[in-house]
Amino acid sequence: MAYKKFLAAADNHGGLVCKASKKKLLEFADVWKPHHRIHLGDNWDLSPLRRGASSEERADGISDDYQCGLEFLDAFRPNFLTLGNHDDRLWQHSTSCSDGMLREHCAKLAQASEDEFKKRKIAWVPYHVSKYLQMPEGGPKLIHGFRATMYPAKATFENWGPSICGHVHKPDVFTARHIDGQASFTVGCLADIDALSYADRTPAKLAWRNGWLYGIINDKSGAWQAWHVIREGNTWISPMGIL
Amino acid sequence: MKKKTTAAINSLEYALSQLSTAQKREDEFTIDEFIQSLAAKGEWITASSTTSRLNTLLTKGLLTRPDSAGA
Ligand SMILES: [Fe+2]
Ligand SMILES: [Fe+2]
Repeated sequence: MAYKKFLAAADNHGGLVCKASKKKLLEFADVWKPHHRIHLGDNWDLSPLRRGASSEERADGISDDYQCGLEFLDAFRPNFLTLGNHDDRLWQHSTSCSDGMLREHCAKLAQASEDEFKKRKIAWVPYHVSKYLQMPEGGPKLIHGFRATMYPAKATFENWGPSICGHVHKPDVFTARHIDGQASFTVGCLADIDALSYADRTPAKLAWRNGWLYGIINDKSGAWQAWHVIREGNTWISPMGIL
Repeated sequence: MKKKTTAAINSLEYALSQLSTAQKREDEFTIDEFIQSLAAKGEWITASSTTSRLNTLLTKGLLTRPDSAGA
């Protein structure tokens, strides 16, 4: 019986990535040497494709954002990717944009992105409540996340059971009152929190932190445990100490 | 990055810039604006029926800006 190591990161938001957090994560990955690398989505921000985007936002274009997202995938080298609601803007526009020309170009870039995932041997799922990934040993469901409440890990457990997700940008844990044990985690984000200005008037933003999650999973039983690394000020704190 | 991806980004970038900056002439409008103007009047039509509607209006010489009378 042996334990395998995993590392989960989320919400770098393309061009809005926090460069210091990305660097810390990659340094941590070099030391932790995980068997499984998990990206929990919002790899891109894609604000020009937001419904109701202003013409200024559209004029910003998506090249830089897209390039930064791909660079993140190349640096972090995830084996698993659960697309987020921000990534999903591209796939949504591919099918439901009323502007025919935009729809067609989004469909091409969505297809090209799927080819990029394939080239990098990344197992991925679209942003959909019924889609999730799991490590080969079993363990938690891997999802981007849908529930934004005061207690997101508890809310996620309610719908998906044992799980690890991103989306809420807040490190959170729910330990189940259940005979089988189990838990849910939501992971901090890797974006520059100040740059995510769409949430500037939302008190939930006060709980956002930069960070990631690392853990171990039993290769026979699928039993697992995980720990947050959370940035407070300019210090990244892990249960093992200061990074 | 694959060549296909670079090409897809460039063309999407162009499409976005057209949407945001293209100077329209006085009577020019996009299909999207046409659909939106019908939606504002409570009529929802698909992209393909929009094309045939526009063709009909065009051949009958009835095509005007969607926000002006008659469109
Ligand atoms: Fe996010
Ligand atoms: Fe998200």
